Amino acid sequence: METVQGPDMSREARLTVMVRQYEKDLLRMCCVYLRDITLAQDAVQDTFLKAYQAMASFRGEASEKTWLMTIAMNVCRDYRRSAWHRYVDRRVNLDSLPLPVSPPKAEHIDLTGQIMRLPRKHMEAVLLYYYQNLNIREIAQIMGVTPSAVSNRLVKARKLLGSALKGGERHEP
Amino acid sequence: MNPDAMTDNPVRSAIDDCLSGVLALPTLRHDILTKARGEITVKRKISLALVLAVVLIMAAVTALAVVTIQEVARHIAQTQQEEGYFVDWPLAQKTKLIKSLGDLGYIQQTDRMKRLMAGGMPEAEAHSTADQMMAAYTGQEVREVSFLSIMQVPMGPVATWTHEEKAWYSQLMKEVGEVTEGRTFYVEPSGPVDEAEAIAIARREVAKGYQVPESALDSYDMQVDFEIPEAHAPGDEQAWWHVRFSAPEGMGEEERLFILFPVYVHPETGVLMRTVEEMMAPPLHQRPTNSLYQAVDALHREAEQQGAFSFRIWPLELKARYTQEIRPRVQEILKSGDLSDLINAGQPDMEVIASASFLYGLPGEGDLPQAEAFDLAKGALSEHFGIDRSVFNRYSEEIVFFDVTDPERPLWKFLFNAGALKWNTLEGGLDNPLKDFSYKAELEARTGRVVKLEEFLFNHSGDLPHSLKMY
Repeated sequence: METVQGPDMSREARLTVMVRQYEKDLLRMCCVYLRDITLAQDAVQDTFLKAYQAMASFRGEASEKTWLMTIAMNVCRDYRRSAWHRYVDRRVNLDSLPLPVSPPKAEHIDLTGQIMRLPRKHMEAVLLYYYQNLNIREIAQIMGVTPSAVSNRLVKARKLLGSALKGGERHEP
Repeated sequence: MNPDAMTDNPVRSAIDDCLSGVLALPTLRHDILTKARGEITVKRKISLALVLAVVLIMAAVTALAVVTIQEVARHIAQTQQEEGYFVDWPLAQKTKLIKSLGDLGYIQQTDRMKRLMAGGMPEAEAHSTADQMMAAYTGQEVREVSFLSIMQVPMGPVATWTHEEKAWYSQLMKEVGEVTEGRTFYVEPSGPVDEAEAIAIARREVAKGYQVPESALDSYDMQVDFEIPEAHAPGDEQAWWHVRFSAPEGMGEEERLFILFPVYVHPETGVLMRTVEEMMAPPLHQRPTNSLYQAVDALHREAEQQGAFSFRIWPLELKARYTQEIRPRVQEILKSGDLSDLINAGQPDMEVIASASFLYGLPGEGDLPQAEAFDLAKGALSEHFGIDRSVFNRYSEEIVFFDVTDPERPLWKFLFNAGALKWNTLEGGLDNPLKDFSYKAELEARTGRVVKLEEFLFNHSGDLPHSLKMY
């Protein structure tokens, strides 16, 4: 559920609300995208910093979450392209991420690993649709493509993830 | 937020389960605000030092791994040269590669892998197991697993490779016997014009050619390579800076200057291989300059602005305009019997004649949407000619016509041009006979009924009957 932002709320107050609302999911999504906790933490910090700096110019053309995810995706793409990323071990290895609170299920490890191995565009569509629970139109806005391109990527991703992705379908208006 | 929130969300469950140890950062808000105020936090300073230390360690570890990865790469390159793509390798070579990747830690050493290595499996099962493991490793269908798809897992996408890595790749391919003629050959940069200067020259010239400020190119993606170009003459080993600008995904037709604009800059002189003006102009040498060709070339220039360098891939709207503006003039010339205005390079211009042979228009209400018709076309061709449907997704061009020659029975026409087939994604690559054939499907636009399916050899004869098949 989105928090309604009052027009008089200061930037700092808005930042506090945004961080409280989105930080954890954003951090986990960046971990999957970048396969590294330190990079993910930096990416989340950069995302909120950019959002904070751009808050004054945000006119509500999209939902706040869509706007924030657009920034996050751009940050993650930049990180993947950067020289630092060249030296990060890019093997899909969940052991390099913080220990889970309790041992995860084998099928969850399998699915998470498969998501990490998806081609970038398909992984973004999957993360935004299934993890961030955005709709096709919002994702199209974030990725800068048409809604049908998003649908096609999700169809392809489902094929690649195969039977690991049972259920989870929902009807888009 | 989607009101239909899923109750059964396997992705959410999986990620949250695996990353339950990933929790919020207690000082995030504070760090953001101090950074926004221009202060450098203590955390950042420590991180920088730590980063440098880790980079040095990782470089040492990576250097070791790269040596071993390079040995693996040579094995893959040699085997691919001898046997083709991974799926066609002998079992011994497949298991050797999987063992190497397992030893390096790139493939998990599961029980299944151990059974494969132990050699006790029936051969068919062993092949299938190896294929599945490599498909999972690369994230591709097994028929597409090749040197590049395997090496891009440890090294990242080719577009992110350094010049030195690309040069290593080209040299390796040459050493294992791959033909270099007709292929881009990457080399290590040399010459007084360095990458930054080559980019600066390219930006300046492209901006000047399009009469825009250089800042207009900031929103375009850019890729830079140092290479002996694909089209180099045999024996020509001159390398150039290849700077190419491409419109990012999602940039609208109305706002972009071009889809793709490549520039070659000489590393000694900074001179361009072809000036921007030459590249923007259609090839007018030996072309007639009569009023018909002036009109044809004006439409071609408009199409090239949209990145469509051949009539066949023009947008439907431009094809419709060609029908309205050019076709009547061509038909009049043909009826008169005096073809002098259609002579190009000493012969009747088959491309102009063929592209004016049918009437092209735009779909309207009651006509099947293009995407739906395209899908039907692929299905019909696949079924009729016994070709895997996925092959029709491996063309670099989408050639479509909306033919209204019979206004009562408009047709969707889809051409799968052999020249645009990504044959290196087919089983057997160059040896696959599919690469020699073009396929065409014609469907009634109102009903989707298939009225014609064709398979014909791709040839360069340029005779009219063949040319007409392409329209």
